[in-house]
Amino acid sequence: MVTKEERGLLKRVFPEKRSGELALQKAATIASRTKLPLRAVEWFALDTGICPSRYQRNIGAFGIEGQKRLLESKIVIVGLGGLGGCLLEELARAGVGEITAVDPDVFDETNLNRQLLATEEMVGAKKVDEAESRLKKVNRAVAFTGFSVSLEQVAESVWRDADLVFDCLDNIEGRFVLEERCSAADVALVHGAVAAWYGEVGVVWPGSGMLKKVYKGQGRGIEEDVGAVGFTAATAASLMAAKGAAILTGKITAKEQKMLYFDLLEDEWQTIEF
Amino acid sequence: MVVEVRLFATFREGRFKKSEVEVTEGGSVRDLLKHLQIEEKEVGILLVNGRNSSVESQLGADDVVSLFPLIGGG
Repeated sequence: MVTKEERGLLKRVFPEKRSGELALQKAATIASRTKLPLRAVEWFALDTGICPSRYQRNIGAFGIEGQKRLLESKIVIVGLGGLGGCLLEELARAGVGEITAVDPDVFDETNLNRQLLATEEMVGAKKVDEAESRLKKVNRAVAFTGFSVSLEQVAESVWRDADLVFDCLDNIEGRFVLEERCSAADVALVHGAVAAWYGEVGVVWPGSGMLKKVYKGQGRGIEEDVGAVGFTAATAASLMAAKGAAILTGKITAKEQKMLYFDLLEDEWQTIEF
Repeated sequence: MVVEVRLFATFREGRFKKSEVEVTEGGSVRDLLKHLQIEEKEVGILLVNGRNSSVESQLGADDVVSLFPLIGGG
Protein backbone atom coordinates (compact mmCIF):
# COMPACT_ATOMS: atom_id res chain seq x y z
CA MET A 1 0.00 0.00 0.00
CA VAL A 2 2.88 2.41 0.77
CA THR A 3 6.51 2.13 -0.39
CA LYS A 4 9.52 2.32 1.92
CA GLU A 5 10.18 5.92 0.86
CA GLU A 6 6.54 6.88 1.43
CA ARG A 7 6.64 5.25 4.83
CA GLY A 8 9.64 7.36 5.77
CA LEU A 9 7.91 10.48 4.55
CA LEU A 10 4.74 9.67 6.48
CA LYS A 11 6.70 8.89 9.65
CA ARG A 12 8.15 12.39 9.61
CA VAL A 13 4.78 14.15 9.33
CA PHE A 14 2.77 11.87 11.62
CA PRO A 15 2.32 12.78 15.28
CA GLU A 16 4.77 11.12 17.66
CA LYS A 17 2.00 9.58 19.72
CA ARG A 18 1.17 6.23 18.06
CA SER A 19 -2.36 5.80 19.36
CA GLY A 20 -5.77 7.46 19.29
CA GLU A 21 -7.59 8.70 16.23
CA LEU A 22 -6.90 10.60 13.05
CA ALA A 23 -9.42 13.28 12.12
CA LEU A 24 -10.42 13.63 8.46
CA GLN A 25 -9.03 17.15 8.16
CA LYS A 26 -5.70 16.10 9.66
CA ALA A 27 -5.50 13.12 7.27
CA ALA A 28 -6.28 15.41 4.33
CA THR A 29 -3.56 17.86 5.42
CA ILE A 30 -1.01 15.05 5.63
CA ALA A 31 -2.08 13.75 2.20
CA SER A 32 -1.67 17.21 0.74
CA ARG A 33 1.75 17.80 2.40
CA THR A 34 3.13 14.42 1.34
CA LYS A 35 1.30 14.39 -2.04
CA LEU A 36 0.15 10.84 -1.23
CA PRO A 37 -3.38 9.51 -1.75
CA LEU A 38 -5.67 9.96 1.25
CA ARG A 39 -6.22 6.22 1.51
CA ALA A 40 -2.45 5.63 1.75
CA VAL A 41 -2.37 8.07 4.68
CA GLU A 42 -5.33 6.28 6.31
CA TRP A 43 -3.69 2.90 5.75
CA PHE A 44 -0.41 4.07 7.27
CA ALA A 45 -2.26 5.48 10.27
CA LEU A 46 -3.93 2.09 10.88
CA ASP A 47 -0.58 0.35 10.40
CA THR A 48 0.91 2.47 13.17
CA GLY A 49 -2.00 2.02 15.56
CA ILE A 50 -3.92 5.22 14.84
CA CYS A 51 -7.50 4.78 13.66
CA PRO A 52 -8.93 7.33 11.22
CA SER A 53 -12.05 8.63 13.04
CA ARG A 54 -14.20 7.83 10.03
CA TYR A 55 -13.51 4.09 10.49
CA GLN A 56 -13.62 4.11 14.31
CA ARG A 57 -17.01 2.38 14.47
CA ASN A 58 -15.90 -0.23 11.90
CA ILE A 59 -13.12 -1.70 13.98
CA GLY A 60 -15.35 -3.85 16.16
CA ALA A 61 -16.56 -5.62 13.02
CA PHE A 62 -13.41 -5.71 10.90
CA GLY A 63 -10.49 -5.24 13.31
CA ILE A 64 -7.54 -2.98 12.42
CA GLU A 65 -6.12 -5.64 10.06
CA GLY A 66 -9.50 -6.06 8.38
CA GLN A 67 -9.85 -2.32 7.91
CA LYS A 68 -6.39 -2.22 6.32
CA ARG A 69 -7.39 -5.05 4.00
CA LEU A 70 -10.51 -3.16 2.95
CA LEU A 71 -8.44 -0.08 2.11
CA GLU A 72 -6.17 -2.31 0.01
CA SER A 73 -9.11 -3.92 -1.82
CA LYS A 74 -10.17 -3.43 -5.41
CA ILE A 75 -13.75 -4.25 -6.30
CA VAL A 76 -15.91 -4.00 -9.41
CA ILE A 77 -19.63 -3.24 -9.15
CA VAL A 78 -21.53 -4.22 -12.28
CA GLY A 79 -24.80 -2.31 -12.47
CA LEU A 80 -25.61 0.91 -10.60
CA GLY A 81 -29.34 0.42 -10.13
CA GLY A 82 -31.25 -0.58 -7.01
CA LEU A 83 -28.57 -3.03 -5.90
CA GLY A 84 -25.43 -1.26 -7.15
CA GLY A 85 -26.22 2.23 -5.86
CA CYS A 86 -26.85 0.99 -2.35
CA LEU A 87 -23.86 -1.37 -2.37
CA LEU A 88 -21.58 1.42 -3.58
CA GLU A 89 -22.60 3.64 -0.67
CA GLU A 90 -22.20 0.90 1.96
CA LEU A 91 -18.82 -0.35 0.76
CA ALA A 92 -17.43 3.17 0.30
CA ARG A 93 -18.40 3.98 3.91
CA ALA A 94 -16.89 0.65 5.03
CA GLY A 95 -13.64 1.87 3.49
CA VAL A 96 -13.06 -0.26 0.38
CA GLY A 97 -10.09 1.47 -1.28
CA GLU A 98 -10.71 1.09 -5.00
CA ILE A 99 -14.11 0.84 -6.63
CA THR A 100 -14.77 0.43 -10.33
CA ALA A 101 -18.38 0.66 -11.49
CA VAL A 102 -19.81 -0.46 -14.83
CA ASP A 103 -23.16 0.78 -16.14
CA PRO A 104 -23.98 2.12 -19.61
CA ASP A 105 -27.29 3.69 -18.55
CA VAL A 106 -28.63 7.11 -17.67
CA PHE A 107 -31.26 7.59 -14.95
CA ASP A 108 -34.90 7.52 -15.94
CA GLU A 109 -38.04 8.16 -13.90
CA THR A 110 -38.74 4.46 -13.31
CA ASN A 111 -35.49 4.34 -11.29
CA LEU A 112 -36.73 6.84 -8.70
CA ASN A 113 -38.70 4.25 -6.70
CA ARG A 114 -35.65 2.31 -5.58
CA GLN A 115 -32.27 3.54 -6.74
CA LEU A 116 -30.32 5.45 -4.10
CA LEU A 117 -28.30 7.39 -6.69
CA ALA A 118 -31.41 8.39 -8.69
CA THR A 119 -32.80 11.81 -7.80
CA GLU A 120 -35.33 13.87 -9.71
CA GLU A 121 -32.69 16.30 -10.91
CA MET A 122 -30.46 13.47 -12.15
CA VAL A 123 -32.98 12.01 -14.61
CA GLY A 124 -31.11 11.82 -17.93
CA ALA A 125 -27.65 11.88 -16.29
CA LYS A 126 -25.14 9.03 -16.55
CA LYS A 127 -25.20 6.67 -13.59
CA VAL A 128 -21.41 6.38 -13.38
CA ASP A 129 -21.06 10.18 -13.17
CA GLU A 130 -23.48 10.41 -10.27
CA ALA A 131 -21.70 7.50 -8.55
CA GLU A 132 -18.45 9.44 -8.76
CA SER A 133 -19.89 12.64 -7.36
CA ARG A 134 -21.65 10.73 -4.56
CA LEU A 135 -18.37 9.04 -3.57
CA LYS A 136 -16.61 12.40 -3.37
CA LYS A 137 -19.17 13.44 -0.77
CA VAL A 138 -19.23 10.15 1.15
CA ASN A 139 -15.59 9.04 1.19
CA ARG A 140 -13.06 10.91 -0.91
CA ALA A 141 -10.34 8.41 0.00
CA VAL A 142 -11.96 5.92 -2.41
CA ALA A 143 -10.27 5.69 -5.81
CA PHE A 144 -13.18 5.49 -8.26
CA THR A 145 -13.30 4.53 -11.93
CA GLY A 146 -16.60 4.57 -13.83
CA PHE A 147 -17.14 2.79 -17.14
CA SER A 148 -20.27 3.91 -18.97
CA VAL A 149 -20.24 0.82 -21.19
CA SER A 150 -21.92 -2.58 -21.26
CA LEU A 151 -20.13 -5.34 -19.42
CA GLU A 152 -19.18 -7.08 -22.67
CA GLN A 153 -17.01 -4.05 -23.50
CA VAL A 154 -15.05 -4.12 -20.25
CA ALA A 155 -11.37 -5.08 -20.69
CA GLU A 156 -10.34 -8.49 -19.40
CA SER A 157 -7.73 -6.86 -17.15
CA VAL A 158 -10.46 -5.14 -15.12
CA TRP A 159 -11.83 -8.53 -13.99
CA ARG A 160 -8.34 -9.99 -13.51
CA ASP A 161 -7.16 -7.11 -11.31
CA ALA A 162 -10.23 -7.19 -9.06
CA ASP A 163 -10.26 -8.82 -5.62
CA LEU A 164 -14.04 -9.24 -5.82
CA VAL A 165 -16.83 -8.49 -8.30
CA PHE A 166 -20.46 -7.68 -7.48
CA ASP A 167 -23.32 -8.74 -9.75
CA CYS A 168 -25.85 -5.91 -9.49
CA LEU A 169 -27.32 -6.39 -12.97
CA ASP A 170 -31.02 -6.09 -13.71
CA ASN A 171 -31.34 -8.94 -16.22
CA ILE A 172 -30.48 -12.62 -16.36
CA GLU A 173 -28.64 -12.86 -19.69
CA GLY A 174 -25.97 -10.37 -18.56
CA ARG A 175 -25.43 -12.43 -15.44
CA PHE A 176 -24.34 -15.46 -17.51
CA VAL A 177 -21.78 -13.28 -19.32
CA LEU A 178 -20.52 -11.88 -16.01
CA GLU A 179 -20.25 -15.35 -14.47
CA GLU A 180 -18.09 -16.47 -17.41
CA ARG A 181 -15.87 -13.36 -17.29
CA CYS A 182 -15.26 -13.75 -13.56
CA SER A 183 -14.63 -17.46 -13.81
CA ALA A 184 -12.09 -16.88 -16.63
CA ALA A 185 -10.39 -14.19 -14.50
CA ASP A 186 -10.47 -16.47 -11.42
CA VAL A 187 -12.26 -13.87 -9.31
CA ALA A 188 -15.22 -14.48 -6.99
CA LEU A 189 -18.57 -12.90 -7.80
CA VAL A 190 -21.11 -11.80 -5.18
CA HIS A 191 -24.51 -12.28 -6.80
CA GLY A 192 -27.75 -10.56 -5.89
CA ALA A 193 -31.11 -10.32 -7.63
CA VAL A 194 -34.55 -9.01 -6.66
CA ALA A 195 -38.16 -8.84 -7.78
CA ALA A 196 -41.03 -7.28 -5.80
CA TRP A 197 -40.75 -8.74 -2.22
CA TYR A 198 -38.30 -11.48 -3.20
CA GLY A 199 -34.55 -11.68 -3.45
CA GLU A 200 -31.53 -13.97 -3.59
CA VAL A 201 -27.89 -13.48 -2.61
CA GLY A 202 -24.94 -15.83 -2.92
CA VAL A 203 -21.24 -16.06 -3.72
CA VAL A 204 -20.31 -17.53 -7.10
CA TRP A 205 -16.83 -19.01 -6.69
CA PRO A 206 -14.81 -19.29 -9.92
CA GLY A 207 -15.59 -22.44 -11.86
CA SER A 208 -18.66 -23.33 -9.77
CA GLY A 209 -21.14 -22.39 -12.51
CA MET A 210 -23.63 -21.61 -9.77
CA LEU A 211 -25.66 -19.08 -11.74
CA LYS A 212 -26.23 -21.64 -14.47
CA LYS A 213 -27.67 -23.94 -11.83
CA VAL A 214 -29.81 -21.16 -10.36
CA TYR A 215 -31.19 -19.93 -13.67
CA LYS A 216 -31.12 -23.22 -15.64
CA GLY A 217 -30.11 -21.29 -18.75
CA GLN A 218 -33.40 -19.40 -18.88
CA GLY A 219 -33.61 -15.71 -19.58
CA ARG A 220 -36.80 -14.12 -18.25
CA GLY A 221 -37.24 -13.29 -14.59
CA ILE A 222 -40.44 -12.44 -12.73
CA GLU A 223 -39.21 -8.84 -12.21
CA GLU A 224 -40.37 -8.20 -15.79
CA ASP A 225 -43.92 -8.71 -14.52
CA VAL A 226 -43.76 -7.68 -10.86
CA GLY A 227 -41.01 -5.01 -10.89
CA ALA A 228 -38.62 -4.22 -8.05
CA VAL A 229 -38.92 -2.02 -4.96
CA GLY A 230 -36.42 -0.06 -2.90
CA PHE A 231 -36.48 -1.96 0.39
CA THR A 232 -36.00 -5.33 -1.30
CA ALA A 233 -33.09 -3.98 -3.35
CA ALA A 234 -31.55 -2.39 -0.24
CA THR A 235 -31.94 -5.66 1.70
CA ALA A 236 -30.22 -7.68 -1.02
CA ALA A 237 -27.53 -4.99 -1.48
CA SER A 238 -26.79 -4.99 2.26
CA LEU A 239 -26.55 -8.79 2.33
CA MET A 240 -24.16 -8.57 -0.64
CA ALA A 241 -22.11 -5.87 1.09
CA ALA A 242 -21.86 -8.02 4.23
CA LYS A 243 -20.72 -11.05 2.19
CA GLY A 244 -18.24 -8.88 0.33
CA ALA A 245 -16.79 -7.29 3.47
CA ALA A 246 -16.48 -10.72 5.08
CA ILE A 247 -14.60 -12.10 2.06
CA LEU A 248 -12.34 -9.06 1.65
CA THR A 249 -11.38 -9.04 5.33
CA GLY A 250 -10.64 -12.78 5.24
CA LYS A 251 -13.51 -13.77 7.52
CA ILE A 252 -15.05 -16.09 4.89
CA THR A 253 -12.70 -18.58 3.32
CA ALA A 254 -14.80 -21.74 2.79
CA LYS A 255 -15.99 -21.83 -0.83
CA GLU A 256 -19.50 -23.04 -0.16
CA GLN A 257 -22.06 -23.05 -2.94
CA LYS A 258 -25.02 -21.52 -1.16
CA MET A 259 -27.77 -19.11 -2.03
CA LEU A 260 -29.88 -17.21 0.47
CA TYR A 261 -33.43 -16.76 -0.79
CA PHE A 262 -35.74 -14.33 1.00
CA ASP A 263 -39.37 -13.27 0.89
CA LEU A 264 -39.94 -10.02 2.80
CA LEU A 265 -43.72 -10.32 2.62
CA GLU A 266 -43.90 -13.75 4.28
CA ASP A 267 -40.71 -13.19 6.30
CA GLU A 268 -39.09 -16.33 4.90
CA TRP A 269 -35.31 -16.79 4.82
CA GLN A 270 -33.94 -19.93 3.30
CA THR A 271 -30.42 -21.11 2.52
CA ILE A 272 -30.21 -23.34 -0.53
CA GLU A 273 -27.13 -25.50 -1.06
CA PHE A 274 -25.91 -26.47 -4.51
CA MET B 1 -48.21 -41.69 -5.08
CA VAL B 2 -48.12 -38.45 -3.16
CA VAL B 3 -45.33 -35.83 -3.10
CA GLU B 4 -45.10 -32.67 -1.07
CA VAL B 5 -44.81 -29.51 -3.16
CA ARG B 6 -43.51 -26.21 -1.79
CA LEU B 7 -43.96 -23.16 -3.99
CA PHE B 8 -42.18 -19.82 -3.60
CA ALA B 9 -42.71 -16.18 -4.58
CA THR B 10 -45.12 -15.68 -7.49
CA PHE B 11 -45.64 -19.44 -8.01
CA ARG B 12 -48.00 -19.25 -5.03
CA GLU B 13 -50.41 -16.92 -6.79
CA GLY B 14 -53.60 -18.85 -7.58
CA ARG B 15 -51.96 -22.05 -6.26
CA PHE B 16 -50.69 -22.72 -2.73
CA LYS B 17 -47.69 -22.38 -0.44
CA LYS B 18 -47.37 -26.05 0.51
CA SER B 19 -49.53 -28.97 -0.57
CA GLU B 20 -49.56 -32.71 -1.12
CA VAL B 21 -49.95 -33.53 -4.78
CA GLU B 22 -50.88 -36.87 -6.37
CA VAL B 23 -48.51 -37.84 -9.21
CA THR B 24 -48.33 -41.03 -11.26
CA GLU B 25 -45.88 -43.69 -10.12
CA GLY B 26 -42.43 -43.03 -11.64
CA GLY B 27 -43.44 -39.54 -12.78
CA SER B 28 -40.88 -36.77 -13.19
CA VAL B 29 -40.69 -33.15 -12.04
CA ARG B 30 -41.70 -32.27 -15.63
CA ASP B 31 -44.99 -34.18 -15.16
CA LEU B 32 -45.54 -32.39 -11.87
CA LEU B 33 -44.99 -28.99 -13.54
CA LYS B 34 -47.62 -29.84 -16.16
CA HIS B 35 -50.04 -30.75 -13.41
CA LEU B 36 -49.32 -27.43 -11.63
CA GLN B 37 -49.55 -25.51 -14.94
CA ILE B 38 -46.08 -24.04 -14.46
CA GLU B 39 -43.99 -23.68 -17.60
CA GLU B 40 -40.47 -25.16 -17.48
CA LYS B 41 -38.94 -21.88 -18.62
CA GLU B 42 -40.39 -20.13 -15.56
CA VAL B 43 -38.53 -22.41 -13.11
CA GLY B 44 -35.21 -21.40 -11.60
CA ILE B 45 -34.09 -23.16 -8.45
CA LEU B 46 -35.62 -26.63 -8.29
CA LEU B 47 -35.01 -28.83 -5.29
CA VAL B 48 -36.02 -32.41 -4.62
CA ASN B 49 -35.57 -33.25 -0.94
CA GLY B 50 -33.45 -30.12 -0.57
CA ARG B 51 -31.04 -31.04 -3.37
CA ASN B 52 -30.56 -29.17 -6.63
CA SER B 53 -32.40 -31.17 -9.32
CA SER B 54 -33.71 -30.93 -12.88
CA VAL B 55 -37.10 -31.33 -14.55
CA GLU B 56 -36.02 -34.82 -15.63
CA SER B 57 -35.62 -35.99 -12.04
CA GLN B 58 -37.83 -38.95 -11.24
CA LEU B 59 -39.99 -38.60 -8.19
CA GLY B 60 -40.59 -41.11 -5.44
CA ALA B 61 -43.34 -41.31 -2.86
CA ASP B 62 -43.13 -38.62 -0.15
CA ASP B 63 -40.45 -36.63 -1.98
CA VAL B 64 -40.43 -32.91 -1.18
CA VAL B 65 -40.26 -30.70 -4.28
CA SER B 66 -39.44 -26.99 -3.91
CA LEU B 67 -39.94 -24.67 -6.88
CA PHE B 68 -38.62 -21.10 -7.15
CA PRO B 69 -39.27 -18.74 -10.05
CA LEU B 70 -36.43 -16.91 -11.82
CA ILE B 71 -35.43 -13.68 -10.10
CA GLY B 72 -33.21 -11.36 -12.10
CA GLY B 73 -33.97 -7.73 -11.21
CA GLY B 74 -31.65 -5.20 -9.67
